[in-house]
Amino acid sequence: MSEYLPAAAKNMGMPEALVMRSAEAKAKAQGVAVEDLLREWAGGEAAAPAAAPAAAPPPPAPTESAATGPEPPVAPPGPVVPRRHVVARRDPDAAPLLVDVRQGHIAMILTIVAVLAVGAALGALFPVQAARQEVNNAIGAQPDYTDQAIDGRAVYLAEGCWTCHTMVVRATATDYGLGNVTTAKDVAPLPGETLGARRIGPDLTHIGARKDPASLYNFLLEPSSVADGARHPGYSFLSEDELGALTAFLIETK
Amino acid sequence: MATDTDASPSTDAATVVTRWAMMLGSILMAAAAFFHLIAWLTLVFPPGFETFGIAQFGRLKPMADALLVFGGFYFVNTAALYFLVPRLTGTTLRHGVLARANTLWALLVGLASVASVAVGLGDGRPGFEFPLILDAAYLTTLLVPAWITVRAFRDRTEDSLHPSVWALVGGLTALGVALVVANFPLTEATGAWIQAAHGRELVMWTWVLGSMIGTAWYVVPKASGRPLFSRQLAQIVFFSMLLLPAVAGLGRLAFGPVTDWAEAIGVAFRFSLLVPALAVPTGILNTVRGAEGPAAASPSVRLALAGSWLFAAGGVATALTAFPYVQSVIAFTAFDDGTAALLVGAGILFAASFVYHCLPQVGGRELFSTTLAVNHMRLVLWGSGLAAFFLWYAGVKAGAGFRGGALSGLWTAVGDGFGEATAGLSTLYLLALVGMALVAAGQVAFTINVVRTVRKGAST
Repeated sequence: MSEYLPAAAKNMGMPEALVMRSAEAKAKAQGVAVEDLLREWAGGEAAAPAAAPAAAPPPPAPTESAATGPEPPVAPPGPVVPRRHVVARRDPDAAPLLVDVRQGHIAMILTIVAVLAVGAALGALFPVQAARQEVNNAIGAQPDYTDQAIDGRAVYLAEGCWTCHTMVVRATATDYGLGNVTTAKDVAPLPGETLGARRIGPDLTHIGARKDPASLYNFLLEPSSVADGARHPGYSFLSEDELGALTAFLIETK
Repeated sequence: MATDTDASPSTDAATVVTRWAMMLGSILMAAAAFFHLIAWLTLVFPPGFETFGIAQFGRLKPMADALLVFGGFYFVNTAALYFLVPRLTGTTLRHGVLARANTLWALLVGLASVASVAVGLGDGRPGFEFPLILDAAYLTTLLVPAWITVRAFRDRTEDSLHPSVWALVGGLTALGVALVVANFPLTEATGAWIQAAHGRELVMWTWVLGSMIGTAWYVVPKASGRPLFSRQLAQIVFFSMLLLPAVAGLGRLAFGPVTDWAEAIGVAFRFSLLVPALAVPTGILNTVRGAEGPAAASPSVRLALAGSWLFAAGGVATALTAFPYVQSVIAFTAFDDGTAALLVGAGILFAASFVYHCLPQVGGRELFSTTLAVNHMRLVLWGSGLAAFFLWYAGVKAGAGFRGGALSGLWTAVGDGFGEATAGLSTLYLLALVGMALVAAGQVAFTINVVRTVRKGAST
């Protein structure tokens, strides 16, 4: 092991193994001795190429703009060279880069933020606003939920009922028979993601019109007591209040 | 297989934080795979889990998703950022100690978030179920990686930026945007539906897949010894994965209570996901072409190639199911879970490709076992494929059954007849579970390989 290796590693703030690997690769590429490179990185005089004894340029900050070749290390710490003093060092045969502008980082951050802002606006903000507008423009009474049912909605969300059940009837033949098609104003009193994304279990849009409170309560408590072979989890671990609230929410969802 | 050694890995702050992030990422990914497995198990055998509050699909599935996205991928993505940004900008990683503290903070917030769902405190925003305070805390974990990146840009000596850097910064920003948008004050159910659709796609495609594909633009050329095939292609992938997913989520909501124009642009953007789905394998395959020998010998390249195949399959499926008529059949069924299995599998393979390539450098030790790495790839590839196939089958069977049965009355998506109509799906879920078990086994192999590399690998 070179006597300069520990000092070079300390100087560069990198593991010795990586520094050694980099030195070997760079020495091979530049035709200089590994020992000379390490001495230079340790703070000694610059290494001279074997074929050209003239003073070698200071080692460039090792970067990985080239996509191939040995793994160079990160740049050694120390005084940061102002970028305006950096000459173009990129090998024309090196790996292609995304942008070739000096102020690429500013352009990059601005571009990313702008694109994401457009995406968020198109994908969420405008459509949500449109849904609100539709509700506001709707004429007609909307179903009210009791306080108990509103508490039950929180249980519905926390227990993840929406992972298996939907509460939306779509205007498509698949949902024919599920009841009236759901509109934005129908679900306006239901803040939170109650519409769901999966029908592992049946749709619950109009469940309150189909079930009586007692059987629904018992089903949630112990499914097999109401329906043999029911493939539904039991919620006996919920408190009586929580189960009652959940039942109220479902019964009031008509 | 490497032998044990007395050599110790490097202990400087920057190296340690990258190494720890990789280890945490692999462990949490394995945990997420097991949570997914148990979640679907509760669907197939619900009576066995009736008495345990935590062991319900409604809690386990969000917990598994959170462990994967905000746990496993968070740490691998930040490891990639700490590893690649300094190297590709010609700087050194500054604030290593701050990064270590942030890693610990992120772990605490992540575990607290998962625990909040486990104990029934979730607020029901799909993909972002944690209470608002934890979402806000999670947002703060993005600040340190962002600050480190900005410092690297300020000090950089490179005059242009590598595609990997763009992808990582884009992913980080996208996660921040998704967290903010998803936590806008809760609106009516329709608004919350839209917010959830937006956030889920942005997180999956831009944060998880976008960042991980970005690392492949670095790893594949390095490991195969070939230059990147096309910078334009990388550029197309980056921009398509930045903008399209943010709007593509609306395509899931066809025929629902969402304005027509929103559904229409959702369908268009979702279909456009064909672009990255085809561009990524094209870029990776052409990069490797001509260096098949070194590529075959490198587990990193093999994993990236396998990941690109899964990504192509999942991406094409996502795009082709954009059409409203198709959505009327497969929406709300397990079909989407099948596609998600492919995309998550792709993300896992890209992440592992990066870790297998870079861990030896930050660990100062050789990869513990190349064989284990290749077996990891096989398990995830086949497991994801198997799970996707049977979940797709279950989805089409359910959707077509509901559609055909709506008029005939043989199938019903509502009421007491639902159980009888869908009873046959349990068998398909069970078969999909086999695939999920393979993925979980693969993730255990991944974790063992990572941990043993750090602790026992031969010194480089």
